[in-house]
Amino acid sequence: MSDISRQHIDIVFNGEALVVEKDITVMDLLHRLEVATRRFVVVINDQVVPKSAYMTTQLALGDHCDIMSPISGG
Amino acid sequence: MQASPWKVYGTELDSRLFIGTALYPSPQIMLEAIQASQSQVITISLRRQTPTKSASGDKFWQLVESLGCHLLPNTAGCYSAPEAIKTARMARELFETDWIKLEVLGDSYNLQPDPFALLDATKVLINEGFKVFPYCTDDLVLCQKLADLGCEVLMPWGAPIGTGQGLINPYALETLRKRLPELTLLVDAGIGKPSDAVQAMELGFDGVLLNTAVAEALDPVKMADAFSQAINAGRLAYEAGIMPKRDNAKPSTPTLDQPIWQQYV
Repeated sequence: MSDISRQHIDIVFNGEALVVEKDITVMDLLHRLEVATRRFVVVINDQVVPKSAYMTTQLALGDHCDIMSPISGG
Repeated sequence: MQASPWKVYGTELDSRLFIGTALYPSPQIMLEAIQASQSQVITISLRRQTPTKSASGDKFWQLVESLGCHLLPNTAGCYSAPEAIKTARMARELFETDWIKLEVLGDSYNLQPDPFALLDATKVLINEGFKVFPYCTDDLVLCQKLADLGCEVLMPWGAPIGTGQGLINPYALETLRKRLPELTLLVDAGIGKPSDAVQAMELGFDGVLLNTAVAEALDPVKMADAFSQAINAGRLAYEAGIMPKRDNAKPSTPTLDQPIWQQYV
């Protein structure tokens, strides 16, 4: 195993494969993706991550992470 | 004259029109149409966001915020109870409200609600403290079971979503009103024109939820105003007490002191 693969993990972000640093937190991921919207919610493996836990919640290998935002609806 | 105010899960409202935020020709027309409707409750949804497209998402949210309306998030597009439950939890976190328009569809052709999955999802969400607004069919037994689970509000369809066919089964809707007098009832979906909304309100429904009929009108802003007036008129008529139908004619002009020769004409 190379140093790079030891330091990185594969996750699924918004339905697409993404390689991120091992032990990356939700907050780090949001910075990395430059998420600029004011209103969104983070969901990991179908579980909502409270905003208060963004700094402490780490992503693991194979996690499915989604960012959900408001859209129009009837 | 304005119809009397009403309460939805403890929230007092003046307008009896809930309006959707989808399908408008432009965001600006959406804004103007919702303002013209005088609605105080708007429906909204949520989807995965791609961060690179965040700018347009944020603009939509800014428009929504500027309206100052109560938000009613939906679980549109869910076809199972677990899916709808997960979506409702996300919506609560995203929109900071316990209100949820619970849609669990059972048929992709007519978007008919799945009554069994709807009951399953309702039970879980009410236990989690949600204020559930179930989008349901007009089946009396289903509606009774939803009420038994703790729903204070029910939203039976008038017709399938987006068809504009009006109230296809007024008998069933009237039965719901008579049999469930304590519940808040809104007709949701299928409304095509203001007279459909008047009919629902004259039946004694507490409100109407619609989207396509306004958004896809040639002039959505004008149509929103038309629906606002229609719903108010229908409610006023219900509150005023509609005369019963009679089989025989009854003269409206008094016949007292009529010349005798006219009685033989």
